[in-house]
Amino acid sequence: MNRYEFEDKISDYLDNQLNVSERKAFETYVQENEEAGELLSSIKNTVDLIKSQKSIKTSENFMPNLVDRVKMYKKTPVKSISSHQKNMIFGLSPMNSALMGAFIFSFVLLLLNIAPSGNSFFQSNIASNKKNMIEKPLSKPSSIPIDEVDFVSADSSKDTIKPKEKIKLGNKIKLVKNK
Amino acid sequence: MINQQSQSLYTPQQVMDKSFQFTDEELIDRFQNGDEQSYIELVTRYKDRLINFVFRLVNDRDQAEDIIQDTMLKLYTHKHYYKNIAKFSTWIYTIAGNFAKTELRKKKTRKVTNNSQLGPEDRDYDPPSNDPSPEKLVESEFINTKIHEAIEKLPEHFKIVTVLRDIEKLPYEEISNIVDVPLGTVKSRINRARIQLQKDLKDYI
Repeated sequence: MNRYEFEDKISDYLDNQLNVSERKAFETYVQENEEAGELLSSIKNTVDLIKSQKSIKTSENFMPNLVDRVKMYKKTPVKSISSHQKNMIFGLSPMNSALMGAFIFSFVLLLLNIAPSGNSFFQSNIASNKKNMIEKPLSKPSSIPIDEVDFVSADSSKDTIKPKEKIKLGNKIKLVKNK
Repeated sequence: MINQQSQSLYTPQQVMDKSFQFTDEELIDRFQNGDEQSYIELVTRYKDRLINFVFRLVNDRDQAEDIIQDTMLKLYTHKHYYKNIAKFSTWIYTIAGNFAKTELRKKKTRKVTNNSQLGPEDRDYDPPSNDPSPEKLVESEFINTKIHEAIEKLPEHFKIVTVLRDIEKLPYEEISNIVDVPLGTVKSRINRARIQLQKDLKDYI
């Protein structure tokens, strides 16, 4: 046990709040440290002095005055619980219900702004169809001469298909198939 | 009902004969069901205990008595607010403590005169001493005044728990419920308050 632990446990010791092992450790520390023993004794005397303080009492007029105040209270009209409840809206006071209504209204507005627009589903379908038309490869008929190759830019960045360009190769290029 | 019986309700001799048989919780239950004699009995039981508690906080006897009047009136007007899930003493001490704290907050905005700045004729705190010797009477009064000043010097949250524990002699658990802080915090505050009081009073012990 160190000094800080000792000081933290002084009140517990004086009020018999320590268990057996804690009490033993505390008393061992006190026996080994004269200063700790003096502090403990001083605090005990202080607490005893405070506990022995004279108590004061209410005056003789206390009860008559209280009875008069109770009489006054009975004479003045008091809001009954039922009348108070009549002003409640869904269990809330008018002000609280107004605040709750404003909160709900703003929450709904926020949801409407975040939510996507209603026809977006159809727009996405149209976009996907266009994409399919662009990406569909064009089949090459087998009768087309090799030296006349149709170039079709299938992967153009533009959506429109470029017109076929016929390039005459002649004897410049010999393809494998000619062999 | 209280109009007809008002003259007899608060006469000490007219206190219920069998009142000692009922616990505080039984009395408040009877009061909630319309028995106003039970209210008077509760007031009789708690008025002196509460005034000691409140007086230590506000340091003004008249003000402390007004606060206890307010507390007892609130007990009358709000009797149905008490639910039997906590001790009645916890409830009534909490009400009195809240009134006292409100008064302390108001005091902060006004000029506060310490007891030590007043002359003997102005001081509110003047506990009687049973010792016939004049010298011992003066010494006893002097020490009591010093103790009172030392308690008054404590921070509010230390003062409340110290008064409840060492003057009102309430158990730790009940103090924890009254001031609404954990049990460990209550013990820590009481410990620190006692160490502080020991430092302030070591010259007089």
